[in-house]
Amino acid sequence: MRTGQCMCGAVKYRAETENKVSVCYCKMCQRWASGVFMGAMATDFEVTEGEEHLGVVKSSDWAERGFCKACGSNLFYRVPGQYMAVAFGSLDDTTGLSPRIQFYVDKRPEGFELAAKTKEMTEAECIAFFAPEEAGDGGPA
Amino acid sequence: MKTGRCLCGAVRFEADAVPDTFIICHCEMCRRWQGSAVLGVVVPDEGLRWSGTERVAERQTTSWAKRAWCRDCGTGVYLKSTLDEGKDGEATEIPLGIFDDASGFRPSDEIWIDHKPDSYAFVDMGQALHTRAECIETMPYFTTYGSLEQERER
Repeated sequence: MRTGQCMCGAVKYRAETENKVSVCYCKMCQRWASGVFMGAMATDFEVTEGEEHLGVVKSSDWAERGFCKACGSNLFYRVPGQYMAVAFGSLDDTTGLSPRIQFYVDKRPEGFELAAKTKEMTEAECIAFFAPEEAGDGGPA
Repeated sequence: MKTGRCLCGAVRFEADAVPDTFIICHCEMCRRWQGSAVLGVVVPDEGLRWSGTERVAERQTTSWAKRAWCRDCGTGVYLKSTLDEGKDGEATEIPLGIFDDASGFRPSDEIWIDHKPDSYAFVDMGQALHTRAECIETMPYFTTYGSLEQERER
């Protein structure tokens, strides 16, 4: 069980996380998370403090993003009923976590690159795998 | 001229004279704010125009800077020194990802490198690395940096 909180401490949560960090470069994640979204896959997510400060935005047909309304911190990405990833940076302890997969790799801005060698999926591969009927600039975390 | 917007499009900017470099910051505040690190382009205020500012929320997050985000979608839209207000050469740090076209940039500096979690690292693309101590000693803006605990006491 790991805990996490936003930058200002208004919203705190706990969740069970896998050690796998998923990385996404789709344009929505780029905008929302300063160029790249890194999320630790999580279950049993529970807000333990500051529920009233939690903002949730429906960011695509299938996904929602949670943030703190008091400081704007990224907290999670989730596909309701399917899966959730808590923002890597919001975790209090990131020991043992490492990037395992990078989504929308062909959309990564050229100005930075992760040193880790991971599984990779392009935009086309992501859309074909996760939402074959859809097109557009959304993507799983 | 470069343009950008938040995730939902409520907050937008146009900017002239945008440099082709960005700074990577690994301090705890930036890490919690933007999910991993803040990749920021420092844009001169002269030639920077925002729209949708009524949807922007600001917060003084240290004694020397404020951060701003879109109220509707939570996208971080800028970080700005409050020590510089009203002075010549005032600038705004804008996250790389909200630029409509984030290509053509390269990292100039990676700061608070000793606070970066071990989980990941950015490839060396010529950026200069600076520890927290080096930042505080050499960059005047940071001499009053506070920890997360200090921020919450405010």
